[in-house]
Amino acid sequence: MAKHGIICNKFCAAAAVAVMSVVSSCQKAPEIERGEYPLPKGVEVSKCTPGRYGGIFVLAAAQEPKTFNPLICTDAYSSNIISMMLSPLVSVDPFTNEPIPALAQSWEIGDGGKKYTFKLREGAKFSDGVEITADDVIFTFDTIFAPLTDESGKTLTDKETGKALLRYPSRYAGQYTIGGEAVKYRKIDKYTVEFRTSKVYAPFMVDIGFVEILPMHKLKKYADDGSFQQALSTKTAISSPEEIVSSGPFSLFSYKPGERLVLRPNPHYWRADSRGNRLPYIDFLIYKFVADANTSTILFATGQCDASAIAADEYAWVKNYAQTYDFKIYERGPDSGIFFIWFNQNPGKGPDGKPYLRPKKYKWFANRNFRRAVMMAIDRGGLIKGVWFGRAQKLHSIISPANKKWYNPDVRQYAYDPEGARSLLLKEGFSYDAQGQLVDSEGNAVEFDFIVADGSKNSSNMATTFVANMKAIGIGVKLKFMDFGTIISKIDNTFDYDAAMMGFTGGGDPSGGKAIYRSDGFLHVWNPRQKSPATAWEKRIDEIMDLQEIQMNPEARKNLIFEMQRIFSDELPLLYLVTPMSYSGISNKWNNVRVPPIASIIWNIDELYLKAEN
Amino acid sequence: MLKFITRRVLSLIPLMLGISMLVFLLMYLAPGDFLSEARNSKDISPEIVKMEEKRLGLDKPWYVQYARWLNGVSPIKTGLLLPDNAQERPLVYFGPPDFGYSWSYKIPVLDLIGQRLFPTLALALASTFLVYMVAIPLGVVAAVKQNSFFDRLSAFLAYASLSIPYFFLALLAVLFAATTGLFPTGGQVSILHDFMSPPAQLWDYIMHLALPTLVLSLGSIASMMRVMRGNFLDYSKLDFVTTARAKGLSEKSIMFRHVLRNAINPIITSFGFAFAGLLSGALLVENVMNYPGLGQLIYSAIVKQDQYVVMAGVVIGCAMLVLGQLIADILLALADPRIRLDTEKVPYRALSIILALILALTVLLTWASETFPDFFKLLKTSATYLGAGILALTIILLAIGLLWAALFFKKNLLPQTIRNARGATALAVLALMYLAAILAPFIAPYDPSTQCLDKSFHPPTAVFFKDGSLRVKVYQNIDPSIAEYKPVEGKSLKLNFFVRDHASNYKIFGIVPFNIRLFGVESAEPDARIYLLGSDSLGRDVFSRLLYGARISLSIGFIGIAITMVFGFLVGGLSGYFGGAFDFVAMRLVEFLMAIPGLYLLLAMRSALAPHFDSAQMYLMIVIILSFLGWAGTARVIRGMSLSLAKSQYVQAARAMGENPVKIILKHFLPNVLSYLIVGATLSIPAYILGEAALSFLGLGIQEPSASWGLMLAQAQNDTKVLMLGFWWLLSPGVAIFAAVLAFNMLGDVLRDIADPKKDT
Repeated sequence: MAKHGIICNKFCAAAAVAVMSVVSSCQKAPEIERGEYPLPKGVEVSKCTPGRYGGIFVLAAAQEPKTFNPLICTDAYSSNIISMMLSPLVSVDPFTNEPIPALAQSWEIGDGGKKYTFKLREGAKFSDGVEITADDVIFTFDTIFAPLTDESGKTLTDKETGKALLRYPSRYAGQYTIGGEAVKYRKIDKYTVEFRTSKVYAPFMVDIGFVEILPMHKLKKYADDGSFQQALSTKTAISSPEEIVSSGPFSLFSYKPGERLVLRPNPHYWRADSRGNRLPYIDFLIYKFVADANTSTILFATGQCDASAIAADEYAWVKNYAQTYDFKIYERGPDSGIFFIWFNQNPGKGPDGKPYLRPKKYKWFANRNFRRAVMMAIDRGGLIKGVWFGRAQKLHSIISPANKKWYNPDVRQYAYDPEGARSLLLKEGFSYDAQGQLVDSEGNAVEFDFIVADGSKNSSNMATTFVANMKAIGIGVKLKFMDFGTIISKIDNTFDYDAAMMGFTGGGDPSGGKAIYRSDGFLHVWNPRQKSPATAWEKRIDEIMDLQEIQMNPEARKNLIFEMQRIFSDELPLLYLVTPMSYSGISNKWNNVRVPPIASIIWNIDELYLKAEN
Repeated sequence: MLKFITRRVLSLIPLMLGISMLVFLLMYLAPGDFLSEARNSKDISPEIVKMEEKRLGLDKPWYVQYARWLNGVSPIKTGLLLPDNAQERPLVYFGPPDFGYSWSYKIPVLDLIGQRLFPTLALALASTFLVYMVAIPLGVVAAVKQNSFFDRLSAFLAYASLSIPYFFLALLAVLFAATTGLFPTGGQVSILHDFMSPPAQLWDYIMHLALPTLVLSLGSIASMMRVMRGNFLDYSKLDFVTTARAKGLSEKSIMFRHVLRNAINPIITSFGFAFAGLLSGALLVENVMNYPGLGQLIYSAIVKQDQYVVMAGVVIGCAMLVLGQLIADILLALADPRIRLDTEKVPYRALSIILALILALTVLLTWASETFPDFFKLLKTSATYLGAGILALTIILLAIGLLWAALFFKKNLLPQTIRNARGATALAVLALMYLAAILAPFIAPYDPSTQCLDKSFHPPTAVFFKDGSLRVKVYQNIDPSIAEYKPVEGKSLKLNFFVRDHASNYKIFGIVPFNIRLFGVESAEPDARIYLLGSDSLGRDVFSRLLYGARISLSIGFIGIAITMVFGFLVGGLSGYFGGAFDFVAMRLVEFLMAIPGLYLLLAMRSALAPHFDSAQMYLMIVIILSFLGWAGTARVIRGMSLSLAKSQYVQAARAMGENPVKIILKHFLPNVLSYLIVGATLSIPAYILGEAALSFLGLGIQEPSASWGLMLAQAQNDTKVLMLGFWWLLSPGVAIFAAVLAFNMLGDVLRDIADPKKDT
């Protein structure tokens, strides 16, 4: 017994010492060296309230960055972190949706909307002290459009399409190819670059903000020797973070995969406050990786991270902790994405000569009134009440109401009306048999499979409710959960499905949704990649999308987009479900928080500063 | 010793080849690929996807992809099998093993694994350490004080901790950490780790390791403790102990110098398995507790189909198993001087046969998939449907018959069990559960999928007695924004028994149509409900779902175990009887199956086989997958038993008289191993129930609109609201799982005592 006691005491003592040292190390905030670098001549002075330096800002991230190279980055998590480190020429003001200066201090639009001249900030530097010039801009676009060549230097082309192949394929090449022609760019002087488009293209100023300007002095060698796609990899970030130079508010301090990513202020950042202090104020910005979304909400609710988006159905409990952990939750209106059910309307045949869809089913699904009847039978109000505790809205249009600039509130709306649905079906020649099962005019029982991606409790709730709603109007629905990959291959490749449910993220300029709206788009999910529009209304949508691109008058362009939304809600290829409210929480210890309608709550993280302690 | 190690390492080669090919095939068969997400991205054009496909080699047939991978991993490479864009190499050359690139992280797989290896090893070693440090002393104390209060208490606690689903425990631990703030909620170190002093950093590591270690160890501690207790008791009854006592040795010296040293041997051997199993076990814990180890990495790689990471993970899993066994054997040799390792020769011939078999299989599969483009589709469909149907049916019948016969005629098992208090309790609990499951449509007041969106997260309704009848309180949703319900004063509904429900006409046993429910409320309102156990997010009755869910959760164990036992018995029995080539091949197959990290294979198989199934087919799929992994262990034990039976005189005599082998196996082997089969079956059913829950937790189990306990529990814990807003009734499936597993464990224990009185564990 005595022996036991001694061991225990020793252990306790050791533990006590250790606890003490943890406490002491926590209290001492780590010092950082910001460097005494003069502000650039072209500095941007923020209008924010001047604050003081210091503080650690912690964010929970569900996924880790896959790369730090903006040109090959394809996921939101990586691009989010990259945007903290690299600046584009212009960015978008989240309050007005208008372009605002970033690396370009000013710009001029000429030649009837086909010429754009950008003036860079004089003296702005990358985090390693090398100046940012027109050469970096030219290098960025050269890399985007670099052709793939064989040994003799001949440009290689795709065998099927005949298009020139790119050495470093990225989404940007397509984005900056306007009217079938790549945008032209040239250096005017050290601080001036000029872009020319072959035709008028309304969203150009928004699009030009998508790409971050690359540091030529660091990346030229990789672009030349062909290893550009491996440059700025996570491996570089782990072993030599200083190699990843930045032009944005932060630069990389350290990255521990599976654990966290630490950013520190970029000592050469191009923004300062009115007192002449360089932004950002925050000492460290830390991304803590948590694979589980539940955990990240719990982390925020218990004060372990500083800001977080909060799902509408979690709001009910997270708010209970606001007092204890001193944070505030902002209601930010409906989510900018859209969520919908759709029926396969692909009339094509598979390689085996069989139609993708049984002819009887095609007949149902291609019938607009069938789709409308189904829409009327979905109890969206019930879903909102039960699943979201009232914190969601019915969705009526292909553009979410969150996108205020483009949302058309005046489209056809479908109220919950199962009786109306039944009579509409009867009018269309359907009838009910003795068991209450719906049968079509040829006597086929109306039944279909419904594929849904597994993994999300809300989509599972919506899907099961849909099945119950369909049962109520006599339609048998077989629910099949599948992993996302399978669903994609079905809707994109094999087309062997009846109905499916999915969502698209939204917000921003409607031209970003081209792939969904246009009949030749690959996300025109109900019948993608049409050679020529299958229906008159799809033809009209294609026309609208062409017209709005060359329409420089904002009001006329808005009218076109409004018309497009009206057509979609009339024809109902997508049966809109609900859009939950979005909420964002942020700790009260930060000043200068300004919450925009759509963008991230920390869009102005460079301006946030720690409140003085009382 | 050296020879022994060589043998082990050599035997690793065919194992790795077989397993890597199996996993590669499964990944290939799984629909979709790494680029699925990119394909559906608004801003990535199909051309880029096509180029990526080419760059990653995904446009090539599977065997080319596999051969390339193999070529990269092997130290002897050939220049013929290099990716398109690689530089020219000679026909044969040497190079370091190259496990390829991670597609999602874009860095070499080995670097990635290297980053995650330390946390997982730390977790594995810490929990192994904890298990041995706690389980051995506890087991010894329980054995020394047999039948004392401590012994009984520890037995109960052991069962209890074995009956809690792993992931549920992990989730509770996270919640505990989050709400009390005593422990960190995840990660390997805290956010400010880099800025700490070295002792503080060490403490930081320890604090982050504490909870995952505890969660991971609890089950192992319980089982190891029981094993230790059993061994200790066995050895303390042997002759040498009596001799020692007779010589007048002190009790302390007998116990610790003689009994303990002997009893600890099997525990040491189990170290190898424990070590290998940790990688599988860590998967769930690492994921729920957000601990950045290999398990988390490989799980997300499987989900994202990051092929080379999965392959490397599997290779490491196998290597860990073989390494673990090697360590165990060496330890055993050191602990027990009677065991010598060098007696067996290196089986070069056997190895070459297996290698040739694998090669032949590869060639065959390659040929088949080239000649018939739909070969795999055909294989999948026929294998799943035909296999599932025929296997399940015949084996259910066979096994139920066997169990029935066994329970009633063998050694009076049933009466003896009933006479035992624990046995009777367990049996009663199980009988009640199965009865409820069978009569679910009658007992349940509602269909499992009947919704009432106005009443989501309704609390259990109070039932009271007034005016000669039972009445149900009526509730009102006073705050829909947090789903808060209050009973309405003075308002209640009459509870009727044997009510006619016109809305539903189910069929009892699937034949007799019936539309009477045991009870229901009397009301004109269609939405008036009785919720004995509250409602879920869609206002569905949890009590009804629990009953319907029992049908799935409780039968999966039975059917699975039937398949496992029949297969295990047949393969094991035949191996033992025939020996020779059959035995060799069968046992290598068994080792092969046991060497695959179970959970990973489960994941891979599930995603390869099941995407096109609805919930009923999924049910069969899960049973088959679970029993596919489960029969190997049984086969091994049965083989050992029948090996010795085959040498017994009466079997020799029967053989000499020309008795047909099937008859010998059925008439002579079966009765002898029956008690083992029954005990083994009872003790394995919990694994199926927990396995179903774990699959559901990973999102791979039974799907809506069906209900199973695992699915219900997974849904409850997926919904943070449930715990944070106190919808505690949704945890009832967890209680049901716990109770069923506990009852099976207790019953198995009692049966074992009866069937095998000398093994007193």
